[in-house]
Formats: sequence, structure tokens, C-alpha cells
Amino acid sequence: MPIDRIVVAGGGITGWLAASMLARALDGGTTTIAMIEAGAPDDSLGVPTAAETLSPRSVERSAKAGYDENALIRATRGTFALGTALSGWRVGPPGFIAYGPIGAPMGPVAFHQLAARLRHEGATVNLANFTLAALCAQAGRFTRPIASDHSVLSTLEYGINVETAGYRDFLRADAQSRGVTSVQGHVASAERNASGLIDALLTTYGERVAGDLFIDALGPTTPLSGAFESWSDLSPCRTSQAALHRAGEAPLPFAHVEAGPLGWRRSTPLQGAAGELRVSSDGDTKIGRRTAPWQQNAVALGGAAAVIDPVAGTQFDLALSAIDRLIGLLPNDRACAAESVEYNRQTIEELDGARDAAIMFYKGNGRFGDPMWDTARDMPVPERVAHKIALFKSCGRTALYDGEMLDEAGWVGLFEALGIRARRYDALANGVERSVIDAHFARIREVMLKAVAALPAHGEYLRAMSA
Amino acid sequence: MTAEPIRNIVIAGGGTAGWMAAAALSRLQANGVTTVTLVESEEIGIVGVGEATIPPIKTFNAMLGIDEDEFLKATQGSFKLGIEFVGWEREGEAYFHPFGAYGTDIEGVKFHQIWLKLRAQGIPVPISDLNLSAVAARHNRFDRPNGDPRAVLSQLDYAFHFDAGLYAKFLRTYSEVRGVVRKEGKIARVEQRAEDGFIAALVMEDGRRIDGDLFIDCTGFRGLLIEETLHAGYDDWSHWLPCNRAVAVPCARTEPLLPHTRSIARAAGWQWRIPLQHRTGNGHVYCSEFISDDEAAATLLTNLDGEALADPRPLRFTTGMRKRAWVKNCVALGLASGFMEPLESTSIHLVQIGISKLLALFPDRRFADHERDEYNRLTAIQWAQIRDFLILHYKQTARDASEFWRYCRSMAVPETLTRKIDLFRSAGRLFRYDDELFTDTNWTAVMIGQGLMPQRYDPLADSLDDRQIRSLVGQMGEAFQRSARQMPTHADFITRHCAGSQM
Repeated sequence: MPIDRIVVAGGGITGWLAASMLARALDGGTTTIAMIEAGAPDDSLGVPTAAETLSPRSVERSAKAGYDENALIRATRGTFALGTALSGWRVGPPGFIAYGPIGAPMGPVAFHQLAARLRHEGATVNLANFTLAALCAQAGRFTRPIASDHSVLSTLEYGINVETAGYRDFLRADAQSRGVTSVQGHVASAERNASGLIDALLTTYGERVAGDLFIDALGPTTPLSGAFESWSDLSPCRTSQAALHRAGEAPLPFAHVEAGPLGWRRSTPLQGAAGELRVSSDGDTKIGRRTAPWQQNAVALGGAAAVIDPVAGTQFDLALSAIDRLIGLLPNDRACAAESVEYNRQTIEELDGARDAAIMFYKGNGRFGDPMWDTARDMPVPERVAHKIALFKSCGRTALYDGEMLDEAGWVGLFEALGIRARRYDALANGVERSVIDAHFARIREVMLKAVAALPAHGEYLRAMSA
Repeated sequence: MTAEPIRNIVIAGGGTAGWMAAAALSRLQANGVTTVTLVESEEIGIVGVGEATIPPIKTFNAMLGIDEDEFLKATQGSFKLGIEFVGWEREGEAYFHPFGAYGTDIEGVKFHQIWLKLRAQGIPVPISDLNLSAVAARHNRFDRPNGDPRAVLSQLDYAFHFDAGLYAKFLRTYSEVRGVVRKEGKIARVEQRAEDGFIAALVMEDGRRIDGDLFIDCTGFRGLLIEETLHAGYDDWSHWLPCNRAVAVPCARTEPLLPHTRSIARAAGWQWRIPLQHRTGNGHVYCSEFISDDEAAATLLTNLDGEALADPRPLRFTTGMRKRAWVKNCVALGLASGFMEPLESTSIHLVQIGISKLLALFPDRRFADHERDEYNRLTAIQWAQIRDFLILHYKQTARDASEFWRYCRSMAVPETLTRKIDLFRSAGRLFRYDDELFTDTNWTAVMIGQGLMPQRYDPLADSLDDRQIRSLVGQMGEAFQRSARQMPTHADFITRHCAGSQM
């Protein structure tokens, strides 16, 4: 039986993102998309937030799906993001996890390995001083990358900060303009046939919405749930509070995550506002994921599939990536056998990778003497996280696993910001004369500083866009 | 932060793997502490099965700073645009597995999906017309892409065929110039440290001791260090890849000089044909349970297209890999680390990626577990990916006239491969895991070539305008034809740029 009718359950940002993306991908076909929408608080991504950050990869995905970036920014009080500042995670100056490359390699030797050699020889090197996105962030300046092989500005990568509710409304309007219909109501139960496939969802108002493929975007408390693997002992995040504050008209181009004795708070700049998320360690938020997000003809997305500790700010990226994957694997019959197996494999890898990145913030913290942080530092972690840390500490290499959102530069930036250092450096870094490395470093810094100095302030850039 | 750099790296065994390692590791001597010594004996022959390569070899050459023409002159080398598989799907059919991509993706829809859509609409364009390397190979032509990404020629990708013995010699000169010390002689025994079993030294038959901190085992199938000394263990894959013997013989060069490898299915295995400047390399890979050695040799000799230049040389192997390629202070490369038949020319590639992983994870004298674990983890992933790709050639076939092929068709295959086959069969979908060597083009070429046609195309392809894709595909085919006709013949290109000395 072919897939003619897709039903999306849950009118939060996750459901509308799915509806809008599917409507765009299936444009010109005969498949219908119906939404079951309830006016509940939006926990569809997992942890409710006032603002979210789209990583550079998500910005790319959004553009590929055909969304107009300027319209998106206007609709969401959006700002540009060049990375995340970390403070209070260890003794010492704040760290910055930047998007994009760190420095530039010399032949086969990565920049951070060259820096490790200089440190080994007694020099003080701060990688952020050689990272374009970090320098722009520090100066509060921004531009979109310039497409030219000759400009260092071509290497800049950026994300976008958005107001969660504004983004949801933007996606809803887009989906509705593409023919997605909606029904008001809470999902009460599913009507299944003899082989367990869902035929229809029944709402609390007694409506029956029939379909061939069902998207569950009902958040962590979905009634369509399957088995759940808890990660609560890998995350001290138990309570979260989201709020939107008024703020000045000169937003910084990065989010700030600040650790305190009992938890942390993330502040995400928007135009004229800031989204705040506070997380602390007592409460009952359940971190973890479904053992199989796609079962038969029901696909759980966002918080219905997993609740990821929000410290790394990845929950929106994960939802978008999952929808992209679903579109790439749209089945042609309701049994969805080959597609669901592959989808679950890739999704689980990605979710587990996001879990590992979040763990790193806690496991690698340097707040000694605070019981919550001492406990987090001593917690047992999955084998592959332990291996990743040990390998990096030993030789500065990063063990990469399929499905991780961070690439090597991302992990190196995170280790650096947390103050985790390698004992040795790449053996090939010795093949270069010290004076040549010094000149390479000086040149990178000079080129970058010069480029940054010529850029407009982030606020000005945004104003010029909307003018 | 005390580093204790490796002092002497000792490579046991010359041959292709040993000299590739020596050439690449020679640059570690720049720290003034590390030295590289290679031990080999002129009395021990080299196996050198990997005379055909795949495109990443160019990266290895570039890393060493080797000039391509000099290298081809020295090794009697030729260019390779892909592999022609003859009789693999069924007797009488052939397909070409080309390098480089099929067409280009359009609006996020993969090119092979567009091809499938056209096919579903009754517009069958041979997929080989849509890859420049395949089109050039059909005309026996070759030209080097000139680096301009806008030019049609930039779509061409290539690798090489060369004489592995001459390649080892070429790299020996390269290494010795860069300070690698070669010691002639046979290894009598391997001495281990009493406290931890690490290898301390190689003791030669004449009593010389060669001490080292790190040992590279390139001693071939036997694995003198990794297996006979350190007992790494071996994963036997012969239930999936049952061929266990080969017989090889060179024959006289014939014209025209083909710019591709040929692989011809036989009743109990397959035959390779590798064109070089001075001769053609041939071999018959087979399973001894289904054919005798004499029959196998006779099959090879009756199917040569030139005069045999030597007696057939037999080889025996068990397909599989060392459970751990890095144990204590010893890293195995080449045949010492495992064996997969040269069906997709991956032998030299496996040496190359072994070396680049070793450089990336290069240890110091403390030999932390983490580097070793990471090396072995990545090695296992990479070997299994190639293994699955090779198994596909045997599993997915309509050949059923002999016991051997009936076994292969019905054998159980790894779950990782089953999943790939199921996804492709359902809607032509392909996913690449862990930076896999083989791309969509590789899998598409072999899956479709072996007769695995998807039941439908990806519904996303319906979002593309039919007239537009028809005209794009038509133009692409014509552009490739034009470009190929403008190229010199393969033989002319070699004469002009990289002819070896007459032998």
C-alpha cells in the first residue's frame, strides 16, 4: 500500500518543521499532509526553550530546503551565531567554541598540532586567537562568508539564533501555504490494524484522522511511545526553565553558557531580546532516547524520540537532521521495513553522538569543590567517550564516530575551551622549522585581524539587512 | 609533558608494503632522534599482487612529493580508468566499474536516481555513457584533468597499473636518499623484552642484532612478528570470499594498450588482466575446493592474449584479517596484516591507509593503549567495508552453471551488506558510513552491473522537471563523447609523457 496520506501529530516547532519540510519535498506530488495540533506549551523538541540555535549545518539544510534566510531571520528576531562562549566551567579565562576551522594546517599537520608543539616548547598559544569566527565574535562583528578563494572570509561559518515560538509560527505559515491541513485536538490513542500498523489517530474531541505514515512530534510525554533508554545518570540536567528577556539592540553574534555552583544557564541573543535557559540538578527531567524512533509506520521526532541534555544546544539540529533523513528515506509502503531499519541505525548513531558531546561538558568540567560538578566529573561514562578523552589527552587526536555532529575542529574547540590538553603532539609537526611555524602563525593572525577590522558590527549588519 | 620520541623504527621486509612504509616514515627523521631501518633479503621474493591501484594512490604519491611521470617511467606504469567486469552478472554480459562520478546531482537528488527515473520512463541511457572515465576507456583514450573545475575533463578520475617489483625499487631509492638504512639479510629470530613481551630486536642469521622501539611487520602472509611472535590472531573470511589460491603469469603486451583492468569470471573464480608498458600481468584467482591447481593454471594459460613470458607462479592465501594489526610495539602492513583478493585493486590502498593511520596516531615510547586501540578500531571498519564490497560481486549474480557460483549465490553474507542490498533494491538508496572508501558511483556501478536493479526510484526525483533532466542528461552524454574523442590514445599519451625504458 503506498504512502498517500501523512499525518503529523503535535503542533509544536518539531511538528510544523516536519510538515513544512515534507510539504516542500513532496511538492508536485499527490501525497497529503494533515496536522493534529493542540495548543499546549511547546516541549516538542524535548526541553522547552525560548530560543534555539541553528548550527551552520542546519542553516545549510534550511537553505537547501528552499527557505529564504532573510525572511526566516525577520520572522524569528534572528541573529547570527559564530559559536558559543563558555564561562565558569573552569578556573581561568572564558573559552569560546567557534564554528569553522581553527587556524590553517601546514601540509598534513593540523593547526592545533602545531600549536601543541609551540606550547610544548614553552610558548603560550590561545587557539581562539587564530580562529576567524572567534575573532569576529570577540569584536562583535559579522559578515556572511565571501565566496572567493583569496579571502580568509570565505572560511567563515555561521549559525542562526532564533526565537523558538516565532520560528514555529513561520514554519506553520509556510506549511499551511503549501496545503497542509490541520485539526485541533490532543491525540488520545492510535487505532491499529491486526499487524500493528496505525490506521488512524483519535483525538480527545473524538475525531479520527486516518493516514499511511504517522509523525509523532508530541514531545517526551507522547502516548504513542515505545521503549525508552534512560541516560539520566549521564546528565545532571533535572530541571529547566526557559524565559524570553528584553535586551538591547546590539546583540552579540554568539550564545553564552555560564556554569554556576548548582547548574548552568544559556543566554541566546535575539534582536531586542535574549532567550534564557536555566538548568539545575534537582528535578525529574528524563534524559534519554527511544530504543527505536521509527516503528512500523510511526516515526517519532524531536522530544518524542529523545530528550538530549541541552548543554551543547543541539536539540533543534537533531530534529532537523532527523526530518532530512526521513525525507531521504520516504518509504513506498506502510510496512517501511528496509527504510525504518536504516533510519533507526543512523538516528541512534546521531543521538548517541549528541549525548557524548553533552557528556563532555560535564565530564570535562574544571569546577573543583562544587559537589554537583565534582560528581559529574567522576561519573562513569560510555566506553567511547572515555576512549575519545584518553586518545586526545595522549596524542591530540580525536576518535570520530559516524553520526556525530561535531567534526574534528569542533571537538578540538570543545577540548580547548574546557582546558583539556594533549600530552604529546603529532610527530609530523617536528618536520617543520620552528621559525617557519612562527611565521605561519603570525601571518594567519595578521590576515585574520585585518579582515575582522574591516567588518561591520553585528547589529549594524542586521539593521542593514532589514532596511 | 614529557615526550619520549621513538628512536629506531625497524621495518621487517622489503616488498611493496615495506618500501611504501619506509618512504612515508622517512620524514619522521626530521626530529633528529628517529631513524628508519629496513631489513630485507634478496633471497626472499616479493608477492606483489597489487599491480593495479585506485585513485587515492595519487594522494600517497603527492604526500611523498613524487612526480607522476617519473614514477610511471620507473615502474613501466600505465593509466587506469576503471575495471571491466566480464561475465560476472552472467556469461556473455560485461559492465564497466569506472573511477570518477556518474553525472552530477541536481537539486539534492542523486544522479543515479535521475538515471533510474529516466529508465522508468522508458528512456534507457547506458549508465556507462554518463561517466567520463568509462567513455574514455571505451575509446582507449586518456588525458590528465588539468585542474580547471569548469572543464568537462575535470570529471575524469584515474589510477595506475604498475610493476610492483619496480615500484618497490623506486621507493627504495627514494627512501635511501632520505636517510633510510637498508640492511641485507635474513631474520633468524625475534627477541622480546622479558617484562612486557614488546619486541626488542631482530636477530639476523649472521648474528647481527637490530634494536628498535617500533617494528613494522611487512614479512608477508606468515607475519613473522605480528603472528608468529605476538600471536595477534586471524579472522578467517573464507566462508564469504572462498577463493584461496591464485596463479599468476606475465604475457607479451598487445595492442591497443587498454586504459583499464579487466576481470573475467571463470567457473571457479576469476582472471585478472593488467596492461603495463612492457608486458601484461595476468592471474587466475580460484577456490581450490572447486578446481585443481593444474586445471586453474591451464585455464589461465589458454586465456592469455599474448605469449607467456614466464612459468605460472602459484600463490596460496586465506582471505581475512589479523584480529589486531597493531600489537604492543608492532604494526603489520600489507599481507602480514591480512589478505583480500585484488578484485577491486585494494591491496596497495590498504597499505597506504595503514601508513596514514600510523602517522596520524604515531606513538611515543610509552605506547599508550589509546593510539593502538584507535588504530585497530579504524582498521577493522575499513577492512570490513572493502570486504562487503567484494562479497557483493559474488553474491549478486545470475551465474549458476558451476558449483562455485551456486555456492556464492546462496551463501549468507554479513548483515551490513544485506542492509545495503535491501535499501538499494527498494529505492536505489545508498549511504556511506565512516568515510567509506567506496562512493555512490562504486556501489551503483557494481550493483547495477551485477543485475541488482532498484524496484523504483526515490520519490524526491519527482520534484524535478522531466524535460529539464532529459535534456541535461542528453547534453552530458554528448559532452563526454566529445571530450573523450579529443583525448590522445592511452598509448600515445604514455609515449609523450612517461615512457619507460625498453625492456
